[in-house]
Amino acid sequence: MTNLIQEGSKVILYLGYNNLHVIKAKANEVYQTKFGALKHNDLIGKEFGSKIICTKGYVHALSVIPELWTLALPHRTQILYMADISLILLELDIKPGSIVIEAGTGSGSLSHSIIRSLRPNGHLYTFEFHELRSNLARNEFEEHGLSQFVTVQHRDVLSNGFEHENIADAVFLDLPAPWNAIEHVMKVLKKTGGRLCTFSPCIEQVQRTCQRLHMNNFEEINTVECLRRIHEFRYQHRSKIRFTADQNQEEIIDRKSNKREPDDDDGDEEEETTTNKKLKNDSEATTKRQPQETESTLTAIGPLVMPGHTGYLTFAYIKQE
Amino acid sequence: MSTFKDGDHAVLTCHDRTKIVQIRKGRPIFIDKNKIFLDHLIDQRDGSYFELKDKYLCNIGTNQAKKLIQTEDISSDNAGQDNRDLCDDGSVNQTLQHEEIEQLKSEGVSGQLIISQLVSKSATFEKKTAFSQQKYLNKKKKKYILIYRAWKPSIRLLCQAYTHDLQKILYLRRDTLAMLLSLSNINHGSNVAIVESCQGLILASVIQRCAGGNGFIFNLTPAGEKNSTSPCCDFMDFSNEYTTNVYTIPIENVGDLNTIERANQAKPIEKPTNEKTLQALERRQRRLDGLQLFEKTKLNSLIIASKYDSLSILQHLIDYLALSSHFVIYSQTVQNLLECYQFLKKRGGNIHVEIADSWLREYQILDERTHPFIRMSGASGYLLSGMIVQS
Ligand SMILES: C[S@@+](CC[C@H](N)C(=O)[O-])C[C@H]1O[C@@H](n2cnc3c(N)ncnc32)[C@H](O)[C@@H]1O
Repeated sequence: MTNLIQEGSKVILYLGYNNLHVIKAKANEVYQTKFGALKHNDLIGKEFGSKIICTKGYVHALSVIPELWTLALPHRTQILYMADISLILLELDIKPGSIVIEAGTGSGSLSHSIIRSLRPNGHLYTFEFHELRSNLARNEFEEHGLSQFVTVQHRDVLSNGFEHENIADAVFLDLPAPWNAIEHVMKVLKKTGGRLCTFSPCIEQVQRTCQRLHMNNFEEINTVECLRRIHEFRYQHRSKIRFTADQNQEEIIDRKSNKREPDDDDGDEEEETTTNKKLKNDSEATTKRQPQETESTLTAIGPLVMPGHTGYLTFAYIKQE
Repeated sequence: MSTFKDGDHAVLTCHDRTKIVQIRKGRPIFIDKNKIFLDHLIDQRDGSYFELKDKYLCNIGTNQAKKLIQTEDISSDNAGQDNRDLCDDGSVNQTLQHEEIEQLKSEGVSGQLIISQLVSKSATFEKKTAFSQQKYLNKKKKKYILIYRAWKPSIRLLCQAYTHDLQKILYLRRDTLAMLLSLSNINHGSNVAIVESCQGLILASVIQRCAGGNGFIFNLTPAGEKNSTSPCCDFMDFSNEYTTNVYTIPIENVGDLNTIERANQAKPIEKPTNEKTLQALERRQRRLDGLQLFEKTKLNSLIIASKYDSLSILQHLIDYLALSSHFVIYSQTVQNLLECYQFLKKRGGNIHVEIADSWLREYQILDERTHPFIRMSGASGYLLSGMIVQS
């Protein structure tokens, strides 16, 4: 893959945090952003990561990578986000060379990450019973140069299964009734052992799935929930209370040392007193500087409101010979 | 299909314990101070079951194994209704003595038999509720029925093996590792630099994801540390194809062009005599090659999960990152990352900078008894991530 933007390249424009736009570079076209007009001709030939000047500001041009795509993609369904996606990849042991089955394709958010981790010699078979969604996903994979790693099929997997037999290292299901697909899953998974993950928002769905998994001799069944908290950066300014007791204390000390000063005419101690005096002057200086008494520290704070639930992930393993 | 060979690593699981071992003919491993030979794992398949018989792990059929380890689900016929008759005065409940059990074990009596003896000699078993009978039996099974399962190592299983040893991997939880790998956008062909103190767990994950692509993987380690600080890479039994582009280089010398110059000048003139010095020389040459290569390479990803100061590492390495490359820093505490954040803001040329942590909750799913596990990990550490762009 080249690192230069070409005619026809998909480009993710980064306008700011959580402000991403997807465009396709086409010679002579113009795209309107909140920073003014962006000439496509300014994109073509530039390296991904470049700063592109618009009429009233600038944006950064980035390539389609799974994290950004998940944030920028056109939503045609509910989608999975990186916390769940990352855990799914790890727990399903998806690695270069893996053969993976997915249903439904939905908006292709998860698919992009799966493809990244099974490249260059694995393959994803993804199924979707909504024809338009299935076609749109296929087009996107094509545009992103991923076609050779993925087969998109328009198919109802509950009625018709996954077409193949004994080929998959891992199966992922994100559909309303995953328990009804278990027999098909067993067929498509490698007989020598394979892993399954189902994603369901409701605990009742999980319960039915687990029952069915036990009935069919799946093993190592476990269910988890994973949430990611993105912190906000904030300078925290804290003003200090000026306790009068502390002030009195300081005054007393001050008075004491002031009193002692005139008595100090013993030559031997001269050096010591001067150092003392210095110290005392220093401390006086700090107490006088204190009125501004606020401290600022950079902090990271969890979000006040955040998604508290996405869905439960249930993992299982089955070996059939 | 994947079978075990002499010299391979395997992950052994037994109930909720996980242990990484190496299979070597005639050489025992130790589990709970007991010598165990793994010779019979050779040629067996991933996911096979084994029973401990006379110091050897011996293959047993899947069905037989499953029957043995199956958790109990007792009908309530022989059980008390509630706990009202149950009193625990601590002494007389169990009449089978510890010494007797040990005696039975050494005679080779099966775990099942020991458990049925324990049940028949328990004064209170009959009075327990069905639920606590079940619990009792499952607890005893855990202790007396030792059926092992042998797996081909995977990053998932390594994470599992370290869950009781998290201090060794800087408390890096599996969901955090998973997220770190996504955020660093590692893939086939990436040039990656890793600075880690997690037993090579991150390095191993990266090697696997790069799968012998054309990119280079630089493992930056403090020179003073022993060569093998990456046991996880050994555990994964990577093929040569996967590791030819992996260079372990001393991080202190990065950016110091004089080192290479000096090292090249200081080349010993006389030919090495024995195998050991030859190997040492080769390793030295490899480090130098790596250093030289590093200076010429533009990185696509930088991962830091180090017990050393992250900020100074980031400051020293950031200029090696290519346009639209990714950096991720893991730290157990957020303070370290805030320093890095302040540096990044001042420097500019980076976007999409985030600090995040995560929360992982496991569930017990049973009919009428579904709930989150009583214990969960409360500390996932934090990840700082972002991308390098033109400023
Ligand atoms: C929530 S979406 C999946 C989102 C996807 N995981 C993502 O990250 O973009 C669920 C999809 O499953 C599809 N679906 C539901 N039942 C199906 C079935 N029986 N066969 C195939 N697809 C099905 C729906 O049309 C929908 O697009």
